[in-house]
Amino acid sequence: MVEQSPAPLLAIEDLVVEFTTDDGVVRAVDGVALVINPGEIVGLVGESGCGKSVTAMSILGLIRPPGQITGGSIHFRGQDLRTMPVAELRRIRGGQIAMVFQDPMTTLNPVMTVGAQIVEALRLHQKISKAQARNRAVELLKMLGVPSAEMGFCQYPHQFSGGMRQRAMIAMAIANDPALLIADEPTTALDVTIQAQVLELLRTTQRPAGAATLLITHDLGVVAELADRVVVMYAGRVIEQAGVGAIFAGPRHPYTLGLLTSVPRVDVEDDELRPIPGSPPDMLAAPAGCAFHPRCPLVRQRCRNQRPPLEEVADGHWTACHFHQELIGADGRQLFAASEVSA
Amino acid sequence: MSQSGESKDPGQRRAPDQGSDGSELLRVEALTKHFPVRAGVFSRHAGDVRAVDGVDFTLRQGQTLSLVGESGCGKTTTGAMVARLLEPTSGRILYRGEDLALLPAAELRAVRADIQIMFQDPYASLSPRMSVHDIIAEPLRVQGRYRKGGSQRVAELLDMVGLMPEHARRYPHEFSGGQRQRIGLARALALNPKVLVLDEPVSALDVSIQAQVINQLRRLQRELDLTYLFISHNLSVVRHVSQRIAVMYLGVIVEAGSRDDIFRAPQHPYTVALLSAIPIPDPAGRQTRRRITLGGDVPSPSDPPSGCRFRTRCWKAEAICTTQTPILTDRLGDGHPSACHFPELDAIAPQTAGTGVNLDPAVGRPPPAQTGSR
Repeated sequence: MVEQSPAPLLAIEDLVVEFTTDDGVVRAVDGVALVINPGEIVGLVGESGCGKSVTAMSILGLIRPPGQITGGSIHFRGQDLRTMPVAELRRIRGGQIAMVFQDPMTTLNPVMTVGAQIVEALRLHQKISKAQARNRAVELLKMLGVPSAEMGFCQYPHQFSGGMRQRAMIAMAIANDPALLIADEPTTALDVTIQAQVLELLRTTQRPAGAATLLITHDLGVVAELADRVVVMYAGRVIEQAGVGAIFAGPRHPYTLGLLTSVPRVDVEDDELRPIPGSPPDMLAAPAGCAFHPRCPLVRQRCRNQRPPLEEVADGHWTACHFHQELIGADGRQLFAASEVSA
Repeated sequence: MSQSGESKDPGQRRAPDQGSDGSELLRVEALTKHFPVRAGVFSRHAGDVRAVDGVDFTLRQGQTLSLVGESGCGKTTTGAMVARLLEPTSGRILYRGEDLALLPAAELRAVRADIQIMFQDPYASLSPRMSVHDIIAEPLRVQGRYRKGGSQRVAELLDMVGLMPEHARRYPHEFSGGQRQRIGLARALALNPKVLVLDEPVSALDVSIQAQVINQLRRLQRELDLTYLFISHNLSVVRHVSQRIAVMYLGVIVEAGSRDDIFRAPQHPYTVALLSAIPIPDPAGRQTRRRITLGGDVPSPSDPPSGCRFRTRCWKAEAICTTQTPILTDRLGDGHPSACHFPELDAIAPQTAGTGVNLDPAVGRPPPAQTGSR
């Protein structure tokens, strides 16, 4: 569907992930298509519950019951990860595709030293001796700015601060030079000055190595700092994607525009925030037609009963809105004029 | 540590949307809070975590003062002391000129109604076993104000924060994060407070909802002439809500001033670094932006560095910073005090082009070694 380069590193097509709950089946991801090219940093953006993390987990086959991938394909270097034998998928996981999670405290093993965990990751995927692995691990910790890396190697996660833990996580993730790094809210739990450090690290370690990164975040600032291309999700679907410049300068979906007018900014002299009214839909009872229509300032009858397809409206710029034409040159501040109270 | 600048408050002068007189409502003087650290089998007193270590500020009627800083800087502890949830180790909190520590119990009770707090976590701060009506009515009952028109007051409060009357019968789990934050707000407003301590009120919310709650807080402030002590780590949010801002680091205020002072002409290197660390949602300037990447972490508040507490991460640190604690002083006499031996006194916009500073060993060379900075 979304073809941009002859040989994408990762190509997700029509992905559907469903969760069975007591109240019914929730379609957390509903027909997502996503392409990542070698060396590219793709930002996957959306609010909580939009399906961005579930999409990422699906790539590595980490969806567990009650969740289930019920449709679509995920191709990595031409191989379908969904139909691949588990043993083979394990070799790719942590090797060619690695992941950094939001909360390092729950992902690091509390009873193993940080060093032992990195060594384990290395020796799982590379045929090297313990001593070699140890040296490489210390080298990685040094590269990521863990002070006194030799000592850090022997310490347990609880002896690390939040920022250091996240560095250890990144060290582990990039230990095997992955072709694709999936970073799920890698800086959300960190203080701003530490966040700046980690973003700088992602910028400086991934890019020169020619590796691709899928950066999942709710923070538009982080995306603007790092991403080459941005994919915006809403209610389980991709609603817009484009190069980072186009997304911020000329969004063609009202949701993206609304996100931009909602964000308080330090660099713009304006006092009034223009929030998107209402709240994201309950996925058990997603609205008919366009899922965004109950909150949309452009809403017409057509939006209520006909779901807009994701279509290319400019070079490499895709959007799913019936009335995307009206957003050309539109003033977002006027469109979302202070509608503050809505329960 | 007194602030000469507090007497003529620039926030009052340059305040935007202000219908209020901006007179002093609450003043905090040399406030400290030390938590004892106990160790060994006999719980020997092994030292103190100096969470708040001498803080002064003034809240002005109808205005917002924000405390910003990273985790562990003491902003939440300060807020909890103002709301009387924690007893200060030393220092004074004066409300309308009266020292709260010296007030008789009956009068303190009345003051408690005037100073209310709203918490960060909408999921942990509401009792799951109480209906929304009971949650909002609880403060009224505690203060003996429920019997006379309590239910009606609850309905009024729900309306005030943008919820429906029928929501009163429901329980917290039936609401989204943004709605729960509104319930917390309604509860905090129940007793007609004068001062609201808002501890990270929007940090747990999605951006679209965050903006709704921020706008609502601002509207309520105008309508009810509320005074806010706004506690946040998010400088972008702080810029939108405050007249005055105090930047905290390791238990002390390192810089205080009006919103424009802090954002347009920051003096303290820590403030400059904080501002430059904020990711800007505009990719256009990302190549040319001046970035200051601090190295390392915030030191432990149980053993803060000697002299200036920021010196271990500062690119300007020299010998004097180790030996002498910089005092919060108003150098230019314009109500914008900072605590630094080498303040930036020329207005610099931290995000504009210029040479970046990188102190992170992982992402570039550290700056040349300087005497005194360890």
